[in-house]
Amino acid sequence: MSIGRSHWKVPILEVRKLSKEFGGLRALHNLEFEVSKGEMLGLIGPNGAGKTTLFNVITGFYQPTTGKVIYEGKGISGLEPYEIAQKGIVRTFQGTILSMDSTVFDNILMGCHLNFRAGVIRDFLHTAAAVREDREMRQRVQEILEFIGLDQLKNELAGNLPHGQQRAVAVAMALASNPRLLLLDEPVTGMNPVETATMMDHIRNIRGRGITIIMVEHDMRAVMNICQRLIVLNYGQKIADGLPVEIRQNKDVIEAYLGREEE
Amino acid sequence: MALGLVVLFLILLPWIVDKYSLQLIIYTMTYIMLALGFSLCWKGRLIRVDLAAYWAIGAYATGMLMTKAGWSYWPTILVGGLLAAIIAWGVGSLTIPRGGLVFFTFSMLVGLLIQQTLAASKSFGGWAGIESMPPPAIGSFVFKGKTEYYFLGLFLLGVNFVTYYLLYNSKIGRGWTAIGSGVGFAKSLGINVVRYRLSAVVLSSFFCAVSGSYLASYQMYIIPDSFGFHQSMMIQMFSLVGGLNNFLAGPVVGAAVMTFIPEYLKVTAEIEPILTAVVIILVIIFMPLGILGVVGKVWRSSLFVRNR
Repeated sequence: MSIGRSHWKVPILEVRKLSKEFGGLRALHNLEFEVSKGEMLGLIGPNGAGKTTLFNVITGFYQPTTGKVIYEGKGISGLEPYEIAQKGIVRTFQGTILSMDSTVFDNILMGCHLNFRAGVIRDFLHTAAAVREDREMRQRVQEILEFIGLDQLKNELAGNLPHGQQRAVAVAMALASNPRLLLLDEPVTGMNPVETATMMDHIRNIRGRGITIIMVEHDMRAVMNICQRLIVLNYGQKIADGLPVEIRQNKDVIEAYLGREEE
Repeated sequence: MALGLVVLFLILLPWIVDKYSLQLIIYTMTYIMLALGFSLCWKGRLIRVDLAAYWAIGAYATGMLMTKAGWSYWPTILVGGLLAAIIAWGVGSLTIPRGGLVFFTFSMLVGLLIQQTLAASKSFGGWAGIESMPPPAIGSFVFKGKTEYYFLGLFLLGVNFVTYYLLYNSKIGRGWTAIGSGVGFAKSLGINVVRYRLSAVVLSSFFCAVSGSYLASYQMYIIPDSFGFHQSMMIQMFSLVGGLNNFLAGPVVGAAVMTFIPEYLKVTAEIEPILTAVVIILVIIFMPLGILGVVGKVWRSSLFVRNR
């Protein structure tokens, strides 16, 4: 047996010396961390700490000023957002973005986009293969609807749903695209406690499917409950990285959130 | 069943209405093809004000090839369409990666450029345009009456309509819908926004040129004045009046309403641009989702009342 190598965790995402500046403003500074396959990582920090900026850099919406992002052993900085999505990194947004005039079913079908293999022409001509694929996708949507508990609402227009369920649809869409790494940006913000608990169950179940999750969230209790590991950002720098219990007692973290005592 | 009745109605239409109305219907069909193109680009959240120029490309391709080169009518439809598609592809590949605003501004400039070039060049007939085009023919059968043209238009519009319908209900249509919900959102779903937008622009340009070929063959003459900025605004008006969120039915309703009503009100050519501008302004402020948007709202609220 090689010396313990087998239980080394395989990183799915590596962030190396990552910095992002906007003009003179330093949004991310020398950030360095890894995420293992199958992990559930919480990303917390005060407002303006750079959490969403980090998501935007990982998903290609922003280019890093220096440093790089490595996904499954390959550098992905410089790729277009849609190319990164095609590689299996899928994100949700802080605001709820759905096609409000489409039904819940059609929205989730839109999320399946990445899984369609038939080209646009074949799809347009409705060839046998394309039709079969379309049917498979619809089955997949149905399965996801049941998984997230939206089955009864599938023919409802997304615009008519309450906030909590719209967020659930957004997560279902991300799930439909078959991600290997899922980035959730504030999935429970603005939800009532019941909605929050439901969403947390969904997230736990998604992780049960073997999908790696990174989650930005303000709701401390939710994050502490669900994540095995937390990274705390402040002014674009990593100030803590560890188990929820460790983070809760970390002096720097308490300071970042509550301010220094003499102030 | 309903579809069968609609098709039957469309086939019988030339014998139901008088010749004057049939002429208006023929114009309405050319406008519907244009407005369908505007709505298609709007689905990908691009606003085009150059569609009349691509309409002109189709009309001039037919006009030039038939009068100067002695071609038969039918291949000129395809040549005009492909020419428009190629030009749109060139302009689109330069501008779409730079964002919607650059595309919008360029579309205005390219529209102006194409119309003025056609008007200024002697070989295209200048401001006098091209006249005395021969009518289309299949063997010895010559399209000379309004009824024949009606069916030709119905066929071309049908091809256009069905193509868009199939696209809207397939992968590419869902991609356009995603772009409509947000460009960043679409990218996060793995959609190549530039390519999807480019295909919308190229496709709509193709069918606008087909509409232009049809118009040219029906009128048997063309002048550059029919393909200016005002006409591009008119196309936008059709889509707006019908309903921007109804990508197929909206253009049909909008073009029909805005062709027939001004005609019966005896609106003259001088007043038409004023009417277009006023209608666009009023619709945007008071009826942003157009006629079908209002109809849909009334329908839904009546359902709601009944369900209570």
